[in-house]
Amino acid sequence: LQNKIANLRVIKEKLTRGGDPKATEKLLQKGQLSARKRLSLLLDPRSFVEFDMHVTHHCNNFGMEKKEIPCDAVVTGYGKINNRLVFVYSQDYSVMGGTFGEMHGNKICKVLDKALENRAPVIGINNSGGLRLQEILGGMKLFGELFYRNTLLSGVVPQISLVLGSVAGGQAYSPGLTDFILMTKNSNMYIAGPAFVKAQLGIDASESELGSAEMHSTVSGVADFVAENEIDIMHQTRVLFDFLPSCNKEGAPVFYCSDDPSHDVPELEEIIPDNSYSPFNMFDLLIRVVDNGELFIIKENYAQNIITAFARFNGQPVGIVANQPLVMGGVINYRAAEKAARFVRFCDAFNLPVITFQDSPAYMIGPHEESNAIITRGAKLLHSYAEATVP
Amino acid sequence: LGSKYIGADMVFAYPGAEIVSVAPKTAAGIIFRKEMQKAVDPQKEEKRLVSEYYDKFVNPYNAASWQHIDDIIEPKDTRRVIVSSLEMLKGKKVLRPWKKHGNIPL
Repeated sequence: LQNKIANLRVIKEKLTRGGDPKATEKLLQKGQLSARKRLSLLLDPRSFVEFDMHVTHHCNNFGMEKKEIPCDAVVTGYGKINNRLVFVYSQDYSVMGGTFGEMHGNKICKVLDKALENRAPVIGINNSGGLRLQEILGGMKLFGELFYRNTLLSGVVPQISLVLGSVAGGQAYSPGLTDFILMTKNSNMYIAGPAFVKAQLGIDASESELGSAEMHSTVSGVADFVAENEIDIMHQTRVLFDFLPSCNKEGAPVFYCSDDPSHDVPELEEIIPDNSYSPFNMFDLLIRVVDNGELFIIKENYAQNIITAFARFNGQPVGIVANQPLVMGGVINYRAAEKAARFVRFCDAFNLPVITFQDSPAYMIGPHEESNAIITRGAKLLHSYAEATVP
Repeated sequence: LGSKYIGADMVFAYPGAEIVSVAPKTAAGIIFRKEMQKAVDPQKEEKRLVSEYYDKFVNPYNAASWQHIDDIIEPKDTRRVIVSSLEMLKGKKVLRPWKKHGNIPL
């Protein structure tokens, strides 16, 4: 048996090394850490437990039968964040570009199944070239299975997606179905990369034009949060996680509050203008009323005329929606309406009270807004508030 | 949208259907990149490889072999299979975990 144990250790050591060391080193030069390093930064020390390390692919096309893909290019399992259970997966770009094959997809689906059964959140670390084309339809089935599960879990347990390095093709749609998308500054996400776009549309578009964090956080609104680098994104994800309950039948964890819950805020008499037409910075108000002035801002640089953020009052996590009079006078255009509506619906699904700070002239009017369906898109905000049953 | 795995109950295809994730030429360009680079006449080689890929995988029989579709049908039977499927599915019930509502991307 000693021999068998020694052999097991050799096998495990080999599998945890991931892909080609040269590829790993090249990614590291670009600030991209290994799949396992990322998990170790995200989770509490020594809390990660791995599933399915020994999984192998079953593809016999194009000489693939000779190819070894350690862990099928994704590390999966569970761990803890501030001692709370979370299910995780981390795609390994150093192994076949982190591509999504049949067994790769099966591994991720198992993570989501366990999260649903145990009513615990899911955090996916996405870094993948998309479908593994050599497997033809094998991965395609599993993308369907994954999207189905993302939708089934939506509103039952929180789902958070991290985008690191490149995330392409079908792989981008799984984050699109989850509750929050966090990107690093140098990451990119798109449903089709430059080569595809050139081949299909004849258009030259760079990777960053198609999906940079800058574009997704200011123009498309796809990204909820942009972090400086991979170490920062893991820290920020832990901060966000602490605002969320583990499932839709629990409340968010209440932390000890060092900020006196009933202190006066006399500065607000200076901040709030006497004239209702004079703008003021809503953040000046918010940071003075929430616990310790701490806000976790969602979509900070998108539709800045409305603010969406998590904060605490006397240790209790809440969602904050506030007009920003500094930007367009705090008017609500279709982008602001959709941004806030989605945030309110998340809070309602997960028992987070919503506090609204209102200083807005009204919905935006004019031909641009009307032709962009301000009636139905603006109505999403009305619907979300009317539908909400949280405080 | 018609994937069984995101919830389609029955999926049928005509014999001429092409069921793949990306266009054959694009897929072949990625899968066979090395072969094409090595080839004496890359254009001829590309044509050969794309056509091989096409014959082998871009047809409904391949998708049916994966159970992605329930049957390959003749166009004349279209109405009949829809009517029959609806009748078979009359009692369909699906259990879902409790939620107030989902969080659809807005």
